[in-house]
Amino acid sequence: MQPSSIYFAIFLGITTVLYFSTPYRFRWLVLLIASIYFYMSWSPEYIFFITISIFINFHISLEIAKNALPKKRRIYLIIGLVINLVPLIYFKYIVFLSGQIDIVLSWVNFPFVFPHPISLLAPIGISFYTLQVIAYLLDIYRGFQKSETHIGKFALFTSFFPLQISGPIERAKNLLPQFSNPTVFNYSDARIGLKRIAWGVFKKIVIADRLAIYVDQVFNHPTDFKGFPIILAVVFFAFQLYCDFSGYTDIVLGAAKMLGYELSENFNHPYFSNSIQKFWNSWHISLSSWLRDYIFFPLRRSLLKQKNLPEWIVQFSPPLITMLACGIWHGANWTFVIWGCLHGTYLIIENQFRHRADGYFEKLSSKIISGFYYTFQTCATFVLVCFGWIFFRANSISDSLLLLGNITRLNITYYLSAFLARDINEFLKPFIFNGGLNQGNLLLSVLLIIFLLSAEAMGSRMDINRKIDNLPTVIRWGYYVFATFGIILLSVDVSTRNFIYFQF
Amino acid sequence: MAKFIYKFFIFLVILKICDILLSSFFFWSLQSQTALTEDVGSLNRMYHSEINADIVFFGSSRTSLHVNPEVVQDTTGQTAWNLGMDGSNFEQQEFTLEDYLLHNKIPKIVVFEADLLSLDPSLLRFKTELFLPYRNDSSHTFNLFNSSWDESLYYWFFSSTVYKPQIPAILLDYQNIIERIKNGGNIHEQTKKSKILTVNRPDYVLVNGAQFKKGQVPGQIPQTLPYPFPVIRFDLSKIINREKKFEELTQFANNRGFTLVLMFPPYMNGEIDESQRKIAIDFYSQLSQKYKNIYFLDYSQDPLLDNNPNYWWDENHLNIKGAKILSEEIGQELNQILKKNK
Repeated sequence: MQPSSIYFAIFLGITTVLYFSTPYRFRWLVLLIASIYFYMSWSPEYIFFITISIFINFHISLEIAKNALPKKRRIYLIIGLVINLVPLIYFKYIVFLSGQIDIVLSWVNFPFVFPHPISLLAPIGISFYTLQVIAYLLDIYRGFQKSETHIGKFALFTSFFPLQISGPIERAKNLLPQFSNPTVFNYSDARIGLKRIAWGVFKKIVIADRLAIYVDQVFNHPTDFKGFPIILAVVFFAFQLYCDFSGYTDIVLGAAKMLGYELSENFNHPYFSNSIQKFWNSWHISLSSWLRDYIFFPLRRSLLKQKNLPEWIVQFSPPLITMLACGIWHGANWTFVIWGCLHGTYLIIENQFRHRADGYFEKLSSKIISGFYYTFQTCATFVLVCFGWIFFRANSISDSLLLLGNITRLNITYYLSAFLARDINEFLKPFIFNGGLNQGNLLLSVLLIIFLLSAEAMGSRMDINRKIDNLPTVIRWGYYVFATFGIILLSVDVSTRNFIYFQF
Repeated sequence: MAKFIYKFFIFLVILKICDILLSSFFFWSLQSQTALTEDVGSLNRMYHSEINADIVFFGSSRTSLHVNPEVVQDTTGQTAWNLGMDGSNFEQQEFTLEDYLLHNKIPKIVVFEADLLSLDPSLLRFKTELFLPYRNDSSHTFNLFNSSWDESLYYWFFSSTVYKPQIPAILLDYQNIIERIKNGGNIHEQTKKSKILTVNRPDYVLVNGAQFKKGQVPGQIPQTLPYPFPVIRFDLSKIINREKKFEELTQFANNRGFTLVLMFPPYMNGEIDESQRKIAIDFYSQLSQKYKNIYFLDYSQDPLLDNNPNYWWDENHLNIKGAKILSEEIGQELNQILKKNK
């Protein structure tokens, strides 16, 4: 059940009506049944796996909470971590790991070949589910969170349908209390929720799916392209990924809002960030804050406690290891490892030099210079992030290296002569190819990106929802109708592609 | 919640009203479309029972660019229409023929492209999107989409979206009309004489569904032939395996009472592997010998066209001059067939 499909819209409508028609104390049950139904629409074969996992995690959390002895608490925590991490490792990484072991063994001419593990399709959303449950157990262990004693509400916390497939990775302190305090139906919330869903659907089926056509061709045929078409594909991928994932997030947050639930935001205009650190504070926020709270800070604290360690290890290893974990979490491929290490390196370099540069420009205290400096920083951050996306999207390391090798072959004279001759067809010729976008769609894609950035810039400065609400009814409704047909007629296809983050 | 549901329901009603208006606009635009006769224009005429020709050609771009219905009409004295569609495979051509017969009178002769390109499923595809506007035209077209219930619901509620693939053609048509008005109505030469519909553009000509390219694609065709082209190799097993399909087509022709002509379009010298060409030719020849109402026309090594770069637009397609020569040849062959059938 794709969240951008009619099926999901009908499912959400029925769930909302049933939810608000049910007495308060049984509402969690309606959501749980809806969540089970939603899960089974994706992978019914794993419902037993998820049920057993919920049951075990519930009891482990109770054991951690009720035991006063730190040693026992730690044992239960370790059991909990192992029980959650083993399936994740098996489903996501075992085939990759066994392949790597084979390679290493073939290097040393090892005579025996280990039997290969059976490759199984991972349960939908396992990476998100695992992190959410681990955070819950760790919070209970640290005493930041009380354990939930109602197994139904705990089951709902781990399987709430808007969060099931690709997060946001929700913290217990935010979500669990909301299950115990259901709200009455709020007209304004429902309206805001619907509008947010529409915006998410627009980003997914109008922008992301359109850009994907171009991006897929270039990244799947890296030898066929040179220079600017690759640069455009990388920029397109940056926006495809953003529109795809933030579109999904908008849909699920909107759906939760209709039901009266406030979930965590996952994005905050990431491409307007003027540093890599700020980028990570505004990109996939629920994951980056998870990594910060459960890997970066604990690692840094433990390293600071070690007095004999060299300063550079204390400084460099936490960001590097955290981002490496981030890369590995995304998938079993060396491209993700490189992508993670690259961002770790960015953060290290930024921490070392940024303050000095900032201090220098602050001293100048000129608005124009600081404005230019800010713009330069934002553009540089975007370029660095895009450079990372090459590894993130490429099918293999050799593909990413091929693309990087070809990206520099710009053939500027060709574009310059076409530009001077004012021949747009000639100028766009290298960007038009079989299986890609035609000229109209290519230009439309660029316009859509500009529109997206303008809307986001406006949205960060004013409450657009309120502005729309203040319009006269006829104009407001006209706008809604126009927007609905805009989405439908500009969408690439009815049967939309899967959301990119579903694979993670 | 009742207020929300009520308002939402009103919103859906408004959406549906707007959708009906928009659908009607698109439908009317397609119906009144005059400037284009290839793909969109041809399909509109076909679904609105406006073709009704004696000789109809089905195929890919190697039919739509190669056969001039006006020349065939002049040679045979029969009305002709070219329903070749760029990039279409055998299944699409067969489907188009079936839908053609649902809406138009049965032609005397159906010329079907027996090309290696359109028969190799790895090279060309069924462009279902072209048929989307006619989705609800018949169960035959409806079944083509094999929609899930939610998709069907979507198309029922937002019926205007079926016209989405044709919006560029609709816009182009309006652009043409505006251009024509600006230029005193004479920018495109458009005649409607004995069912011939011609649109003359700077780089191409449209005639009864066919599209002819003027000149050549720069750099594609060498000045002298033969030229060592990269030889195209086909998956012949997939082509020969379609014998059953051809048998069905023959049976269909028998039942509906038209003569089926299989046409192997010309290739530039050396473009296809000679051994593959022979296997394919043998296959079609045997097929035509096996069945009475099947004729096979082989232009794969046409002596007039093969070695003359002036007759080619690119390495796979003839230009307007080449198409004229080929169409005359086809017309003469069809004359013979028509005489035999008498």
